[in-house]
Amino acid sequence: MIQYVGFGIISLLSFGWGLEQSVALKKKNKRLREIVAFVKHIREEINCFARPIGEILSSYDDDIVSANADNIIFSKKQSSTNAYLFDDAKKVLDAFQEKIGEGTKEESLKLCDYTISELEAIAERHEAEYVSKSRLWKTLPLLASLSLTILLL
Amino acid sequence: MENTAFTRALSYLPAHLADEAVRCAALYGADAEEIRLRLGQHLCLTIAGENVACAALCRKSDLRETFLALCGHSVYAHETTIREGYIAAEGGIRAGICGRAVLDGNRITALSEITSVSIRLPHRVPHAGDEVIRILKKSRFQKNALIYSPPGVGKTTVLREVIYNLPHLRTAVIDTRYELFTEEAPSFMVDVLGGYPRAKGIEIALRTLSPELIVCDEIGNREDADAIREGVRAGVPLLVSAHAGSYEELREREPLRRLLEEGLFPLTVGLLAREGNLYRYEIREANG
Repeated sequence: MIQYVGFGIISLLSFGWGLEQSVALKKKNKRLREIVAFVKHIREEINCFARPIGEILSSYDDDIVSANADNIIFSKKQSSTNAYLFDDAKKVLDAFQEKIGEGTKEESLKLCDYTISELEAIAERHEAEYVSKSRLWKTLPLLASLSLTILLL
Repeated sequence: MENTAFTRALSYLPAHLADEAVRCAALYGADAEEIRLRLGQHLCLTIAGENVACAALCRKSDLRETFLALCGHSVYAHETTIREGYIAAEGGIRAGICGRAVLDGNRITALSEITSVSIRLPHRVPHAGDEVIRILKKSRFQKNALIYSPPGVGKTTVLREVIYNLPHLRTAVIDTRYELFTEEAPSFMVDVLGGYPRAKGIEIALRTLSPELIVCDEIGNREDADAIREGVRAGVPLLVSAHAGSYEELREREPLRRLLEEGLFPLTVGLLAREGNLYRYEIREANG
C-alpha cells in the first residue's frame, strides 16, 4: 500500500514540476514581449526628446527596471527580472545595455532598432515553439514517472 | 570636501583619479576650481588660481569613463553641445571636451577620440559682484553694462554674484551654456532661460517675461549684437559679459566695437586680474 502511495506522490510531483516549467515558459514569453516594448519606449524617448537614459529608466514604472542602478537596465545579477529571460535574449540585452548611450542619437537609434528586431525574432521563435514545448513539459515528466512506476512494480 | 560642486565633480572621475584629486586638494587646503584630464598626462587641478599637477596619470579609459559619466551615459543627449566643445553636466558643472573632430565639410559632426577633459566647477565668491552692483545702482539699473575679462579671471563668477545680489528687479538670465545657475532660480525675481541661444533667449525674454533687466553671458557674434540692439530698442537695460583682455581688445572685436561705437554700453567694467577674492577693475562710464 505504502508503495502505491509513494508512486502516486512521485507522479504528482513530476506532473507539478512539468506544469511549473510550462508556466515559466509562458512567463518568459510574456517578459520578452514586455522588454521589446520597453526597448521601443527607450527608442521613442531618445528619438523624440533625447532624454538621458537615467531619466528614461527612472520614469518607467515597471519591474523590468526595478533591479537596476547606475543606468544598468537589465541587471546582470540574478533578479526576478532575469529569472524569466531566455538565454539568447539575455545575450542581446547584455550587448544593448553595454552600448546604449555611448553613441550619437543616430547610433543609439540604430542600436535600439537592431535590439528590437533581434528580440522580436527570438520572441517569435519561442512563441512558435511554446505550444509543443508546453505540451511536452506537461506530459513528459508524468509519463516518465508512470513508466518508472510500471517498471518497478 | 565642503564644496558640493567639487564633490559632485569627483563622482564623474574614475576612483583612482578622484582619490588623487581629494588628496591634492587636501594638501592645498582649498577646493579645486577646475579639474583637467589630458591623455597620458598627470591629473591637473586649479586651486586658488594655481595649476597643480597630481601624481595620477590619465589613461585613455579614464578619459572615456569621465566623458561618459559627464554625459550621464547618454552621449546622444549632449550631442549638440559636444559639437560645440562642452558638456553641461548636472549641478552647473561645465566640462570642455577636446578630441579628434569628425568633419563634414566645415561642420563638426562628432568627436572620435577624447584627448582632454576640463571640468570647471561653479563656485561662489562672496562680494565678487559688489563693485559692479555699486556701479549699476549709481545708474539706477538704467544703463547697459558690459563686463569683460580674459578667460578664467572670473566674468561668470562676478555675473553670478551680481545676479544673486540684485535688488528686487524682474531679471531674465540667458544662461546659454548652463554655467550661471543650476536647477534652482537664484531668487524669486529671476527667470533663467537655460540653454537658449543668446539671441533667441533675449527675444523670448522681451516677448514673454517683461524683464526690467536682461543678463547674458559671453556675447560675441553678430547675432548676439543684433539681439542686444533689439533689447535696447525695447527699453530693457542689459548686463552682458564678453571675452577681452583689455578695453582695446574689446574694441578689436567687430560686433562689440560696433555696439560700443553706437553707444549701447555706456558702462564697461573690465576685470583685469584676480588675487584671491579681489579683482582689479577697469571701469569706464560714458556721461549722460
